[in-house]
Amino acid sequence: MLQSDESDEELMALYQEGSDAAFKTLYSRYSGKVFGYLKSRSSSPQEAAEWFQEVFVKIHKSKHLYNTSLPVSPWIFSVAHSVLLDGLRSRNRKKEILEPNLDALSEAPQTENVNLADITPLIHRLPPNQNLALHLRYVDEQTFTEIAKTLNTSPSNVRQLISRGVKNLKRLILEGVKS
Amino acid sequence: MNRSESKKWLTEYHAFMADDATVTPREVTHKVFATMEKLIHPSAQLVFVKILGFHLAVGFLSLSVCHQFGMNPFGTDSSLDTWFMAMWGHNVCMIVCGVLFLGLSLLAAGYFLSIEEVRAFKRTEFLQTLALGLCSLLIFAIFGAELALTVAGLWLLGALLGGFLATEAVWKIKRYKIGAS
Repeated sequence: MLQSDESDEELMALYQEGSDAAFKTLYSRYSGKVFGYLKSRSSSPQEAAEWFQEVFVKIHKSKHLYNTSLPVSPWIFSVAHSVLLDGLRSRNRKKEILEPNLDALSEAPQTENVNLADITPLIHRLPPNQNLALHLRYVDEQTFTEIAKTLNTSPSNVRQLISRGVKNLKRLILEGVKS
Repeated sequence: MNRSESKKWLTEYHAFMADDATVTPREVTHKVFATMEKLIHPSAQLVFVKILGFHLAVGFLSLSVCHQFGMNPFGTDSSLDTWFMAMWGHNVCMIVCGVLFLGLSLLAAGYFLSIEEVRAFKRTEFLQTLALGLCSLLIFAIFGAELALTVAGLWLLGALLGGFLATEAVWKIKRYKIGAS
């Protein structure tokens, strides 16, 4: 590692030229701050670690864009902030894909008291494959992979099947409430 | 960024700077260092494979403007080699063709390579450029070019020269871009 009296900007200039010692010194100065910032906004230590690694890869890949006449700390913070935003967006997207769950049904105010027993007869009115997929997911609490094995299809198809099933179920409930 | 977003950014930044207590878990640091090691010290072999890929594509395209050993896959009417031949004669023409063929590829590859990859290439520059030149000659021979030893030797000399010049240019441009002297 380099002498600790080097400024961040001097270290960054050395790092831009490929010095790993400069990188390690910068890392020792900022890793705790970056990790703390991400950890407090992540849902798990694994997620924080993933984002943390992404920050340093991004710093490395865009280090040539850094202007050494400007301070390093806001630049590193900006990178961490943008990785955090990307991570949060990607987490939300994943959630939408992976969890097309029955919570969606509570969007309609009329259905806020709906429970599984009430909607079981309606589930039977769905097409057989959607019916089975919903049953396996929400009654047997199987994973998408397990359901895919049972239905002899891919997990992504199962997600679509469940998503369609939930939509149809929601429509049936709303029709029931109106009538 | 509007005013409230700027304010929020600033508050978060101050909190970020004030955090001196968090310690990064050791296993996370090891992971980051392992990844960075590959990025800061890329393998010369991997860099060679990347450059070879660029060279195959750019070299092939360059045959449309400069036919090497009479190879004209695009069926173009005019070629720089005819002009080189008329200007400087056969021997110089072969050298200049070699310079152009490898130099263009390395310039194009340099645009996409990181400064660390260029440094890795420079460490074994002669060997890598020689290998690229020999690969090119081999491919020309496979596709039916008649390569006399002297002619191929002159062309290879040009390729080495072109490789050296292009690598130096790429290296200087990369360093200029980061403001290094």
